[in-house]
Amino acid sequence: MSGHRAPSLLLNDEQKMLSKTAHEFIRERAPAGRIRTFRDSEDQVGFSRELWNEMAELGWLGLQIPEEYDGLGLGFFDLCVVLEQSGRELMPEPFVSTLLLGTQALLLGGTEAQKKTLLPGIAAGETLVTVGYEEGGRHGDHSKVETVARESAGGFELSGEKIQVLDGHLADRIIVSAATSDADFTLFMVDPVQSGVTITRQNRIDGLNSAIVRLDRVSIGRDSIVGDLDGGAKLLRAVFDRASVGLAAQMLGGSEQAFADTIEYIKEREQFGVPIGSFQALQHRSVSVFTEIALTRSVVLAAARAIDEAPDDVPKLASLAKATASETFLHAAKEAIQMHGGIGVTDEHDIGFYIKRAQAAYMTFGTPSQHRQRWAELHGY
Amino acid sequence: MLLKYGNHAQRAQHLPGIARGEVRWCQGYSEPNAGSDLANLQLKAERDGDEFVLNGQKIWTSHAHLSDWIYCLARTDPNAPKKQMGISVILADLDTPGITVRRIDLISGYSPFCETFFDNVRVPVANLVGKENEGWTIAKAILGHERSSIGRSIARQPGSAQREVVARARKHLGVVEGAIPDPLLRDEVAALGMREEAFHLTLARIQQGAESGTPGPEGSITKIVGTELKQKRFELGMKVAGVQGLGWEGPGFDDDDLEYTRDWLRSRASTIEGGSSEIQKNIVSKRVLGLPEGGK
Repeated sequence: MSGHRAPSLLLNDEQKMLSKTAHEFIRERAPAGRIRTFRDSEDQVGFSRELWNEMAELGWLGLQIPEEYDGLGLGFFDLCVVLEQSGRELMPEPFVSTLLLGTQALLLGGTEAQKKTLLPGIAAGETLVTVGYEEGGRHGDHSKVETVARESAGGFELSGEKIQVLDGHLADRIIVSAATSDADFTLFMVDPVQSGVTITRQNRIDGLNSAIVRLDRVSIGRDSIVGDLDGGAKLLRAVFDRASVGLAAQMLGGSEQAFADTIEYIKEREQFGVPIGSFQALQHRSVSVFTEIALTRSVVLAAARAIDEAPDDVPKLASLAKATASETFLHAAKEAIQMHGGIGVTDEHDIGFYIKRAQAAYMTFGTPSQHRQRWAELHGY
Repeated sequence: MLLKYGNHAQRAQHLPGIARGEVRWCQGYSEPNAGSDLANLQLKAERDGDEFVLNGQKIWTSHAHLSDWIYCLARTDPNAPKKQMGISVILADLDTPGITVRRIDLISGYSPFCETFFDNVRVPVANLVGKENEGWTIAKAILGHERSSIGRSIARQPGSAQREVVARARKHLGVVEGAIPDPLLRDEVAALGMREEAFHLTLARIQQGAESGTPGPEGSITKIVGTELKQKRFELGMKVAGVQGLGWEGPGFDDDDLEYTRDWLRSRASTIEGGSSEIQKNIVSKRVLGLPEGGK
């Protein structure tokens, strides 16, 4: 932000209502403990299709999708209002894969045909689109891509392996990065039913669903290119910026809920004949978490607003939001366990799910130190 | 304070001089044994006819040596059932016989503060602000005002802390391909820059909330965050200067670096004055988080 007339960081009346409705719906229908149920029942889907469809009917999945593709045509800011609430209960539904990766890749780089084919289904809750970008041994550097796309008669032939592709086990389309020249890579739309595609489900700590996607000489046409040929790095960066902000909104929600549960707990739990929340050692730790959450809320709202209104500010603010929310969520989750004491480290209590999600989110779309490095570069030092 | 709590005569007597910039005031709150525990204050004010007789000592009276008047918290009822009761706000002309002012040297070498001694100082009862023995309410209101103004005064220009530290890093460490050459220091500078931006966005959000008539609880943390940010800025500015930041005075050090070092030392006071960060956290945990009152 250079000019520094601060953007509006408040929710309007409709957004406040949306936030309240989403909060109540999610708290009642999607408590964090579902993560345990999906895990222990070895559920093949790993989330609730039924709930996803209901949210589609409420209009939440198409909030930001333009009306011409059957969405509501509102802003990314509105989407973040729902994402924050989904984060409070660590929902494993495909928000990140489909609404943050797939949808943003389509909106930013998709052809008219691709958008027409996929966006209405996304808004309706029927279609899942994800992006496969992670490869082994890269440690968060997505600029170098081992998967290759060789030009062939009708288009390209893709070979390589993507790991931890979010919702790759169910996605209707997987957008993958593949090297097309020495200098750059390209994003390609792959239909997983094609021959040469092998999907292997993975299990992570955080309850999000993911899969290894193996591509063995998968033939696709030129119309499968998303964005420009050799333009993958720039497009993926832009997708990550938006996805970072959306994920930061979820992390904000996760931090708030872990903190709220902790405050409630230390008001009730008694030791030495008094509530442990009366001890200054815990009070000051609590205020630190409260402070970090307040700061995080400001940067998340500013970054979400910039996506809708000030595109030039997005790179800086996205890095600010991702770095800040990552640190805050992990801090809030660690403090939540510490202040819950023994019960906090048992699988029986839900509070332990927060640190797992926090660690996963911290590592996704760039770590805080990677974003600080980018921030320094963007500020010319 | 006078605007809100002074009577007509007091406002008429004092406000014009303040407005014209002719009369300067200082604040007599803290005492040697009443710092964070301000309500423990002991400056005695005994009624003698239509005068109060003041005896005791104030400390950290900012710029008392340059001031004309002081407003004091004094104990008018030593037998009140709670220490917060029995306190009154009393105004005194610093030229009154019995008042002595002594400057305090800080670790920075600056002396913005003084000790102010009262030895049988007689002031008219008309100098009482508000009701006798009910000064604590006024004191708290003024402290709240002071804290929010400290938070805001620290805010300075958005991005200025980062610019300042980057400039010092360039001066002392040079530039390699446009970057601060030490990647660990660069990471710390970026963390500072991000913190600064988050703080400014939070101030903006607080202001927007207040303007829209829905003030949030975030205002309570601005003093804590702002003062810690200020200290971090000076710490990093010192770190990038290396041994060139070690000068006190004299040859071998340039004036900017000497002044910066003094300011760094001065910044240590910011998390203490106007309510220490720990006191702020006590207030937030009680009033905002609703945590139960406990041992201090």
